[in-house]
Amino acid sequence: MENDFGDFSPIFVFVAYAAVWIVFFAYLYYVARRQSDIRSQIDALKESEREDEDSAESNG
Amino acid sequence: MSLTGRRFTVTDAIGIAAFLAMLIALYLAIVESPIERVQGIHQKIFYIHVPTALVGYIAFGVVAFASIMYVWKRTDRWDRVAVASAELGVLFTTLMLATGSIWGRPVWGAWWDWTDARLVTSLVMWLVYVAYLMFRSLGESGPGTYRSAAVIGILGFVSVPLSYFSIWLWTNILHPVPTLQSSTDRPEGSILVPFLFGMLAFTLLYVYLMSFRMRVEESQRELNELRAAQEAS
Repeated sequence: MENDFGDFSPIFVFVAYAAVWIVFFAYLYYVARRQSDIRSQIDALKESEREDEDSAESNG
Repeated sequence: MSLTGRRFTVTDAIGIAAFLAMLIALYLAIVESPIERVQGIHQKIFYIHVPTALVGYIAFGVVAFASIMYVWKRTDRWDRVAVASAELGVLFTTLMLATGSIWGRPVWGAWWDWTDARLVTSLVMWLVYVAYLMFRSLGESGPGTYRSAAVIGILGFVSVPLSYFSIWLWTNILHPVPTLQSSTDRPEGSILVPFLFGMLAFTLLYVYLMSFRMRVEESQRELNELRAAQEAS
């Protein structure tokens, strides 16, 4: 089926809607990964800080 | 309330509401809305293209407001709001440009048209905020960078009304005057409801992503402080 603007195939509509959903889920995944990376770095730093304090106490 | 040991927060509730609203908006746009006489099924892209554009404008408005508040109050929280909203504004505007391009191909016969003022000013607006984010990521973390970013956030907002009003400011043959404001072609109720629901869904999604993104920004600053403290000791 065609009109002045080309065919009425739903492919463009499907691609537009799919792009929006995929991009939002990809962004959510990216932000969640970033948050979890930062949290694990914070935990590692706090852990090493605690170990430094413990060794300083045992030496002192 | 908890199923996994983690407390159920307001952010979780907004996330669920946003997801459900997105599903309902999708159903209303694809199934319930009528097929437009001239553009046919392609007009259904309108229900995601316009809300992503408007939420992008709102996000950049939040950047400008938070930047003004940062310059005035000098509290880090306003800077965090500005950077989180800028990233989301770029995300929504990227989708607006992409869906517009996909819509343009079957309707105008071209993915892009450099003579269309709305397309060009929207691209300029997108580039302004990409530059803002690049400046943020390349600069040192500290008040100097935050202050300069706030100035860019305030001045960059000029690109938003320029993009929105471009169809009235320049002679434009491709982008029509918004259907909702056209006196000769008012939408029927069946078009208005899916559009308004789309706006609600994308606004909820913006609010949810903002709170999620703000948490990352807070954690990043906590990490920077810990590193600075460790280097100092």
